[in-house]
Amino acid sequence: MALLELDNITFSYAPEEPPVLRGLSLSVEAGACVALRGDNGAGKTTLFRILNGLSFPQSGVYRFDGAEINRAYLKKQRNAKRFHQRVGYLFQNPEVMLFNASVREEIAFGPRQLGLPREEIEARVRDCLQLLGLEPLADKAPYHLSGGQKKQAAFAAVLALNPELLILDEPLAGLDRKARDRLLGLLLELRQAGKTLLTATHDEALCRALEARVLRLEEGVLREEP
Amino acid sequence: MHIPENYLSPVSCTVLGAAMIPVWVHAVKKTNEELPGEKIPLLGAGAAFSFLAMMFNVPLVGGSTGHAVGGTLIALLFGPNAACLAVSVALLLQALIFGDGGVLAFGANCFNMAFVLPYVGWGVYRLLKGKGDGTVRSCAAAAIGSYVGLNAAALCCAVEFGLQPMLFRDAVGNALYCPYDLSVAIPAMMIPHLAVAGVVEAVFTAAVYALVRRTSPDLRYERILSGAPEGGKRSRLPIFALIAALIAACPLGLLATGTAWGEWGAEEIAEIVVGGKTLGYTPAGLEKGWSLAVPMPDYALEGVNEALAYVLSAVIGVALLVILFKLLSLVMKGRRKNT
Amino acid sequence: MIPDWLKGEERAAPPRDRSPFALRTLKTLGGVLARLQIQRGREGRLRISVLGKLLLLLALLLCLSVARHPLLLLGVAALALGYASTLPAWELASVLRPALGGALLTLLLVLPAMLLRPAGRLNNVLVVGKVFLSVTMVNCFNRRTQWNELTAALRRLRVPGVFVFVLDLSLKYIVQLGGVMVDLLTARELRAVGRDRHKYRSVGGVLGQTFLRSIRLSRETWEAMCCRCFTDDYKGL
Repeated sequence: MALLELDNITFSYAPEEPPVLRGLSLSVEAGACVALRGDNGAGKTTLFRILNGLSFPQSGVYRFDGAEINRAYLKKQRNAKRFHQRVGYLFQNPEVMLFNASVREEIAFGPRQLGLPREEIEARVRDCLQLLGLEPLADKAPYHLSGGQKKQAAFAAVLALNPELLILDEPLAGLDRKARDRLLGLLLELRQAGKTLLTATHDEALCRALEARVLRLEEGVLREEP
Repeated sequence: MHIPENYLSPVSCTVLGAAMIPVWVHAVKKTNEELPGEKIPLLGAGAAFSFLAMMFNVPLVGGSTGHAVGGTLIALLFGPNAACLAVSVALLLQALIFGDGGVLAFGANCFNMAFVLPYVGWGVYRLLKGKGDGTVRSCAAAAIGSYVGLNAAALCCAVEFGLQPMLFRDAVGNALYCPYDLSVAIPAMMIPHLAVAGVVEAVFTAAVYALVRRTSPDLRYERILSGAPEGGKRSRLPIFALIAALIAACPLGLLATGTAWGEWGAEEIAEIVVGGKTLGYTPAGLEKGWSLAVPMPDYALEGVNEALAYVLSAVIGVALLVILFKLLSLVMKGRRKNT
Repeated sequence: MIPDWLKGEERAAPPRDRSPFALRTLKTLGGVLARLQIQRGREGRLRISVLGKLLLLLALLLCLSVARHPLLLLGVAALALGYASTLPAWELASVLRPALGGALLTLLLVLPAMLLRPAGRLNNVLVVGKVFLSVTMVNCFNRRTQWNELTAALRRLRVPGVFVFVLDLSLKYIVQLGGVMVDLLTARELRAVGRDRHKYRSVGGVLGQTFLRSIRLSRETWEAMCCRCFTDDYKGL
């Protein structure tokens, strides 16, 4: 069974506006890697929002691991926590993801919400800092970081939740060579570890390295790209 | 040596104050030219030295007290022009906050301690030191220079006192301001300063100068004059440690009881014994004179332990001086950028 | 194919113009807000713990406000001035300017009372001194402390987590909106080479944009929190 399934999704931001997504369908197996392309404004971010349960389609069904994700389902706290733990989302603008006093706190936020024991949280924070080479910045305030550093801090914060599905909106944009290589290696390792990856990217190298199935979002539907 | 309010006639104060104006203008101009901007905050430390030195009262012969000024020391480190500014600022602080030295007499006090003292001290030092740069010779020159400088200042002070009764008397013949003429004032001022205060100043100057030569040799004015390159960043720790030690030790200055010659309050002057007889009256200028109500007269506060108040005064005075000169360095840097 | 006017050199000679008061004010305001970002308050060689510093500051402020005994005042003055004197010159200026301003304002306020009732003068002078010292101390603290360290210190003081968290969030918004405002105004300035007849439209635009940005920012931040398993229960904050 597919890990996530979108069936004939329609979405528009306002009733009088033309819909952004028009009968879009998608099925992703667990452990797969999908790269999403599309022009600016094609609706990639909208699609990601739906996948993360932040927006809900006007028509069509979104199933994650068999459960239909809708408002009523996420109203239940237990469901919401479980769902958001399993789906990690790296926003295109990492700025909005950083709202704690220090990078360390930032990474600890998610695990704390899950109610993990303190030692477990500390271990996760340490590992995530190390994975992204953020140790020297651990006690800095997030608003003191540069753009690229913010992106890496946000990614570390997502990883700390140990999600099965990683939804990454332009993960490599704005990174320097070193950070880019590090993140690329990390994504490969995550893929080998069986995580499901869904990224929006214009980066050819990333698609090739991850051996991703490339889809193109055009006129509100997804088309397979050779 | 701080001339209090009303001991000099307003005319004398005005004359000496006016004489200081060109000196200050010259000093500011020269300091701005020759002292690198980053040295100006350190000049604050120099002013703090002077401020502290003046709090160390030592008992002098004849029951009065005196103190070192440290003006020559600052001249050795930052040049006589900078020393003039530093001592002036320290004196201003003492006059306005601690009531040491009159506000009207500020010009006269600056003339003695901020003008005569550092320039004479520096001149004598240069003369004696000649071309050599040996430690012993320099320190000896520093000691003698500061000794001569302090006594020159004391002499000026005595002359200013002594001229008052000769120039200003009321109808009955009583002095209006300082009642003692030259024949009394000069020996009264000079003997203790020559014998004790000058020695204290010389020892203080030579000791600190030797310390600076060893720990921060780049701090010397001669280095600036000869245009020697900066010797890298050196620790100023010994200097600030010395200031801290002086602050902690300054209650020792309280041990010297009695009032410095020429610094009596209006209520005690009638009873002062000079040459075997008391004066018998309070000069009119002293009795009715104007005086400023300062926040901490004589470094003391009502209802506070004397020694504690003295230490706190020292801390506040030093901090204010350092802050002041740091701000000054900012202004000067801004001005230099503009030109 | 680019149009002809884009190929040659620009021939328009822009007339002189002045930036209007409202825009300059906005820029100053934005700059102050964004400065929190650059504000990397740090200790010099003596690293005092933030918590200790905060407690000391509170104690000194309390001392100062209730002090009747001159010794207490004198001690606080010695501490505050002594600490301030260790700051570098440029920091000193920005610490003392508001302090002097505050003291001057207070002096103006108590001046009538001082003239009318000479008996109370000492008290009035004390009030002026207290204002000066409190502002100096708070400013020093500000200069030498990072905001996030401060909130961490509050947490250790057992201030409720929700409160500290909201404080952190507000700080983040303030910094970001300040940055947005400065960016928008700088961008406007760079493009406004000639005379702009509709400057006040820009004022509206800048404020409007900042407002919209703030709404979007807060919405997205909320969503990002949800995505990391936040469910209104403030657990472990």
